[in-house]
Amino acid sequence: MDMWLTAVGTVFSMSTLLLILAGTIFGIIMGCLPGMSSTMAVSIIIPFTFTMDPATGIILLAAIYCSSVYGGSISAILLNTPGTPAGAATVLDGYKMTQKGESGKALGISAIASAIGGIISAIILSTTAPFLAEQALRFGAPEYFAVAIFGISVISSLSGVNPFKGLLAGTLGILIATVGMDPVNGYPRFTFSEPHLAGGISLVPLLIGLFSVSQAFVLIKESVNSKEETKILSVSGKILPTGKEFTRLMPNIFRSSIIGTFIGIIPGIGGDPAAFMAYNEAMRWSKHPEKFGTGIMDGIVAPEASNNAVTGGAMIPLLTLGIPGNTVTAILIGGLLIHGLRPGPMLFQENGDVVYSLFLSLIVSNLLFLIIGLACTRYFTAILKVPGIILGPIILILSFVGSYAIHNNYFDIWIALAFGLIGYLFRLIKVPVTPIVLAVILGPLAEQSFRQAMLQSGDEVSIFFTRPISAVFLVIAFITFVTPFVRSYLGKKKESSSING
Amino acid sequence: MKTFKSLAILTAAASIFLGGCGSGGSNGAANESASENFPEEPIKIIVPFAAGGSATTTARLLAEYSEEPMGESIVIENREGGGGTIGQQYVSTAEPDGHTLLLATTSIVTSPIFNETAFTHEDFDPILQVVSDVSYLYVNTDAPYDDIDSFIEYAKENPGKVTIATSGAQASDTIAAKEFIEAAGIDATVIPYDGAAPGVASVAGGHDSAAMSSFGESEGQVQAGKIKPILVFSENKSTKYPDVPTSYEKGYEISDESWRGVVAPAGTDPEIIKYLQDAFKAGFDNPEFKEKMENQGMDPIYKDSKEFKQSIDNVYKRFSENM
Repeated sequence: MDMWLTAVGTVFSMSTLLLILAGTIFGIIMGCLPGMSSTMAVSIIIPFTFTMDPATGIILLAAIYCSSVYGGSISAILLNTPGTPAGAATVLDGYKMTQKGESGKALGISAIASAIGGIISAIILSTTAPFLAEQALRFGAPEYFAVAIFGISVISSLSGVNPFKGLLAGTLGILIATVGMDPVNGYPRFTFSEPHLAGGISLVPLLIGLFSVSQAFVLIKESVNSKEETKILSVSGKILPTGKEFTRLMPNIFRSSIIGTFIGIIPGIGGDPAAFMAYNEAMRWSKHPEKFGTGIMDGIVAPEASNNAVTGGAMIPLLTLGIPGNTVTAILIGGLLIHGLRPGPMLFQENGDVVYSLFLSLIVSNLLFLIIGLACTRYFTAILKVPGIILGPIILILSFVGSYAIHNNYFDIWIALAFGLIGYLFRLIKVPVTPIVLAVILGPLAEQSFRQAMLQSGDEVSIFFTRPISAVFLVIAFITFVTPFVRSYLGKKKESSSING
Repeated sequence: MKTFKSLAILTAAASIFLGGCGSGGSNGAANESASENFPEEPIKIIVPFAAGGSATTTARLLAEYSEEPMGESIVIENREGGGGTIGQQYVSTAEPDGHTLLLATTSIVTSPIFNETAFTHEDFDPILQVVSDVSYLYVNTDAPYDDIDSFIEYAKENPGKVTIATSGAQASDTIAAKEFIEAAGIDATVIPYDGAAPGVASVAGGHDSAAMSSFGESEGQVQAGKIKPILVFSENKSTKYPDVPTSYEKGYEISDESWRGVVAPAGTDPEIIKYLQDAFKAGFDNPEFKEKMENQGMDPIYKDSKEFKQSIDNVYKRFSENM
């Protein structure tokens, strides 16, 4: 209870509220710009949070995360292009409503559904996470090792079509993670006598490079190649739904929020599939499934409630275990680490004030983007007209300034640039970059806790299998890792048998 | 025409030469009175770690209360990277005029030992030490031993079973733990964690037999009744836990503390060092400074430049003997 009171004091101060407001507006803008993602929006702001106190910094990042997911629906509805990948399902009915001249209502209901989804997931997060975190002291080195392996095993399902490409990126990440100090003996590894590498490759410039810098390159290249103007329809019609319509949509919103939260909790799935799953469920439960895809509100509220509910869900494994469930939460770890906060079970004991302020700010942020979304949507359409050739260089400047500012270190700019090129190259050859981030974050944890556990047990590997929590996580890790391979194998088999038959 | 030109050049050259002499002369004068005019510009303290840690807090609080006696503003700059080596390297090569200082921790000694740095601890002139967090040995309250004697007895009965968690591979408490194991003649394993907190948590959860840690990092778990201190690595009794025996009482000549202080680049005018020491000491003596430091769980303990140099040399000696 004390923690909640402290949190109220932190969140409801004028400066914090203004910061949440600024973050929310920034998030909506970044979310609705096609080509910008929540990941990028958060990574670019991390360096600017490090002069703030830890609670304020993480609150700002969370506000950007929530609102950018919502922002993705604006361009999905108006442009027929999702602003973020998670908005892809919203395109189906959203753009149809725009064509029917109901874009106002589509945007309104999207804001409402997103906010409810976000708030429901924030409530689930704040009630279950502290309970889960109470198990903190049960975690010794073997358990941390198993959890890290579980986190890394998600790589195979993150990578989409080809799990082998994910493994390739993950291996590169683990290699990057070995640079720096050996965690047990203290001697430097792979530093090539370069003092800047003695502490390892800095995480935030790496993130900024992989996500922001590479995205800027893509934007600049695309805008040079394509000369055609995008056509933007202006917002028309009423914004708010009628009370009757709203009541009818409630069960759908509620169901989709729960789906989104649970998908969010499972590491490695993320917002995009959650939106489609909720859409499918809404269709299955509907009396008129045939109307989906023709421009109905049910087709907007399901994916929007669901992808915003993922935000709260994804923070459960992040805060209680230190496992990022998706790319954005992986980047949030970077945001916590620069304040010396290591996410994981101990976070609740050592920095409970930060955690509870985060819970509360999630709710505030969801309410804020609801208000902004309903009141200002008409004006956000102007942002959609900014061409990539202007946006790209702005992002590049922000990325390099941010990379430098975080440690006052020129070397970090080179790191950001190098990883920008790697990220761009990987996009060209269609290799996902998220596994790199997961491996860089979890690799050191896995290594250090493995070696600690081996020291504790006197080099007995059985320590990982005889302790129940550790054993369970290792089994889940194995299943998580193998499933995509099995699925892709079965898929191929089915394909070939149908061709043969 | 030609002569005019060469005359002009000559005059110009002469004036540059004379001007050079003039400014050279005034520079010389300024050097002689450097310590009298000090400080001439804001003092910068480089913290070689991320903002938000206890090193930054120490520097900020010290700066806040020392600005007035210093007679100049004091700026804190975080230059993180390379586990502290980037900021340390920067100060080691800075102008030794007393305007660029370093917030020093044990790592100014250990970084050069472990990593191939371009500097050693001898590239810094100590000014003063402001914090000393003495190390304690903590054990789980439910463990089959409840004081240092029964712990050692348990370790002798269970050779190879006992593990001692420490705060890092390059931390001085790892050396202290190794010294303790050798002095007590037990067969135990040292397990370095990433900071003191995870090691403390591991003991609180019963995963390691004991942990080396400071008061500030462990008091939470002590209050929660999960762990308790059984030994203080010091010659003197702890003010926090007066009932806990010291290592010297038990016959082990091992003391371990993690200190923080301020150092200047080597070659700084001793009078400037003296001026800085006095100004920071005045800030240190402010009761508000001490109160705020204690609220952060840090032990404000003053040592002058000579005593601080001994602390630094002592860490160097222990590490070079043990690695």
